[in-house]
Parts: sequence; C-alpha cells; structure tokens
Amino acid sequence: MEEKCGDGIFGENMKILEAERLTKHFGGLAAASGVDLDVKEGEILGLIGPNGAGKTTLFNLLSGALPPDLGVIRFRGQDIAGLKPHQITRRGIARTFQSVKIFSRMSVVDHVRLGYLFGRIETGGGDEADREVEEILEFVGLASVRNARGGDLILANQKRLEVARALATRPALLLLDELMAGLTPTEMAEAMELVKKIGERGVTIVMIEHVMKAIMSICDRIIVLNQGMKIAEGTPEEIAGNKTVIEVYLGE
Amino acid sequence: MTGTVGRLIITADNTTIFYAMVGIFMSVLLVSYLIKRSRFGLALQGIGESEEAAAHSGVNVTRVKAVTFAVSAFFMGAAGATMSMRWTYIDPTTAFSIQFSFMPVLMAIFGGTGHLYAPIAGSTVFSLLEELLTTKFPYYYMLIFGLIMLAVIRFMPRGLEGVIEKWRKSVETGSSVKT
Repeated sequence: MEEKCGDGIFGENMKILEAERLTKHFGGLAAASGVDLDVKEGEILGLIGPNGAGKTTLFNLLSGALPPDLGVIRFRGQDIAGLKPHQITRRGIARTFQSVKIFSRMSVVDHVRLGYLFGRIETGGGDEADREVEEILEFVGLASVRNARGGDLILANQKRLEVARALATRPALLLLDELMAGLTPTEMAEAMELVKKIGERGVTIVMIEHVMKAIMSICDRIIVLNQGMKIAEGTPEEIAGNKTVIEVYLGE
Repeated sequence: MTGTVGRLIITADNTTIFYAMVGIFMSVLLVSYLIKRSRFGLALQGIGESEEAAAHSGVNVTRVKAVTFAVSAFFMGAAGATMSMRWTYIDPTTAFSIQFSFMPVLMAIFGGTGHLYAPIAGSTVFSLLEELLTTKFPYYYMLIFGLIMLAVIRFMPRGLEGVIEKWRKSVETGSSVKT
C-alpha cells in the first residue's frame, strides 16, 4: 500500500499537493477563481488574506467538502478533485475547522479513536490502537482530560482535540483553519509550539491564520489570497515587504 | 387467496402476538446495545453530533446512514407484520397513517435520544399518558396531548433523559466544571 508518512518516496522539495486553476463560484461570487497552489513535502505553508478572500473555501475544495467548478487537485500524484471528504481523509489529508466542530457529548478519547478507526486505510488491532490513541493524547496535551466530554472542554482544549482527531487519521497533509483564533496569548504560544512539533513529525501543514505573529514565525512560505485570487506568494520576509499585500490589508 | 387482489390472512391469538412483540423488543434492545458499543456506533454518534466533522474524520456518512435506516426499518417492519395479525386487515391508509409513523418519533423525542433507557422510559410514559387521556377526556384528548408535547419540547428539549441527566449531574458535582 501507499506510504502515508512524511518522508518516503518523495524527497526534499517534492510537491505533495498541486492544485491548478481551482475555481468555485457561489452564484455571482467567485470564492476561488483560477487559484494555483503548490504545497511542498514537509513545509508549513501559511494562507492569509482579508475576510472573504476565499481561504476557507480553498480548504473546503481541498478537503472535499465542496466540489470545485473547475480545476485539478493532485495529491501525491493522484487526482482527488470531486472525491468525498472521507475518501480524501483516508488518502492522507486531514483538517480542522474555523469554528470548532467537536462532538460535544463524546469523550475526548473517543474522538481520537474515531479518527483512528475511520480515517485510515489500514488500522491496527486493539492494543496497537489503544497505544497510538494514548500517544496522540499525550502529544497534544489532552491525556489528563481523556474522559471528559468534548463539550465540557475550554476552547483551547477543544482546538487541541480537533488537532488530535485529525492527527489520528495519520495525515500526510494537515489543513489548520484559524487554530489561534479566540485563544489567549499563552494558549497561542502553546498552539504555535504544537504546530511546530507536528511539522517536526514530518506532517506537511497548510494553515489559515489571522495572527500575523504566528504566521510570520512558523511558516516557511506564505500565500496571500484576495477576492478569490492569489495575489502574492513568498517567504514571510518577502510577504511583509510586498506592496500589493500591504495595499490589500491597509487600503490604498 | 382470491384470484384478483391477493388477500392473505394469517391470524394468531393474542398471547402469541404478545410474545412475538416481546421478542422483537428484546432483540431491538440487544442490537441497539451492540451497535452502541461497536465501531459503527461510534461513527453514528459522531454523525449525530457533527456530520461534517465525522465525514472529515473518515466516516462514510452516506453508508452509515443507509445501514442504520435499513436496520431500524427491519424492526419497524417486524413489529408491523406482527401487529397486522392482530388487526387482521391492513390497507395503505392504515399502514402509512400519521399515527403509526409519527408516534415512535414522538416517543423518542419524549424520552430522549442519548441513552438506551431513554426511549424506553419515553414510550412507557407516553403510552400510559395516551391511554389515560383517551379514557378520561375522549373529546379533548388530542388537544391536551398536543399541549403536553409542546410543553415537553419547550421545557425539556432533551426529553425525560435531559431531566434525569441534569439531576444526576447536580447530585454528582453540584455544578458542571469546565476542564
């Protein structure tokens, strides 16, 4: 079967995901128009842009929540455009949501178990599953509340829980939609630490973020969207000094 | 059987029907319990709480829903077939009447949907209430029943179960604590 971990048959700087001319219209509104997107194996890519720029739509297209009107999405060389969300998850793309979508009456450990049992093509037996679920809970820092129900957690922990559930599907590519939104400065620092740790495990990350400090310090590369189009792409330094980007954010 | 319409009448005495219904009830409970504890039940719970999140965690939502529908239809069918022996005559109007299609859903709402005991408690109270009202207030029974249902939905949105769980929680901790 195909290799699902970070390194492997793909070397450094190989593209894990390529999207070409991605287009999605909602009535007359172009939420994505002709977006080209390359994600390199192992990198942390930031996706920024003003409200309504089409960032979340792009995530919805990549994760299968919405079928694109036009365009190609290739994940590890295979065309995945038009596949159902669960098929895409099993192929190795996991995501979190802008407004947390946890199972409020389900225990923390069951969230992770669900991701483990359904998000993979092959799963291990009972003992192996328990061990890995436990390991993921430790990794994100939720081991102490493993029996609490999702709805009883504070926001920062609900966000960790979403990450844990996503990690349980053993993704090669993780899409994080505004992980930092609504967190206190301390929690934000912890979340940034967590993202870095996930990156170090060899998981490629694309993150939508409004918190500039987080984006600038974590990301290897940044893509800027505005009105459904890609307007800039580059390293954090390049983006910080980019004229178009400054105009979009601050007005002309 | 007559030649044109096809009419097959099987009758059974009430005792047989009663035990057949008890048997169906027990197997519903057993199957529900097994589903609740299984991998399939975990997926189902996930779908119930956030369909989108379940789909993006790898659950094939359409398939799980279809299987669930088939399983519940199987038991509804079995109960219907058994009861048809008691009624001896069934036509589409009886089979698809609001009363028989809607009542089980109301019973579930009345009881709650999170635990196995909830729909049992719900349907017990519900049936007793129905019998009581039809005998005591034969003319206003539907009206009173409707008002009670409205009150339940307004004040006990999670049914009897919600009330019981709330009481249980307050006994355990005093108040719920965020972790």
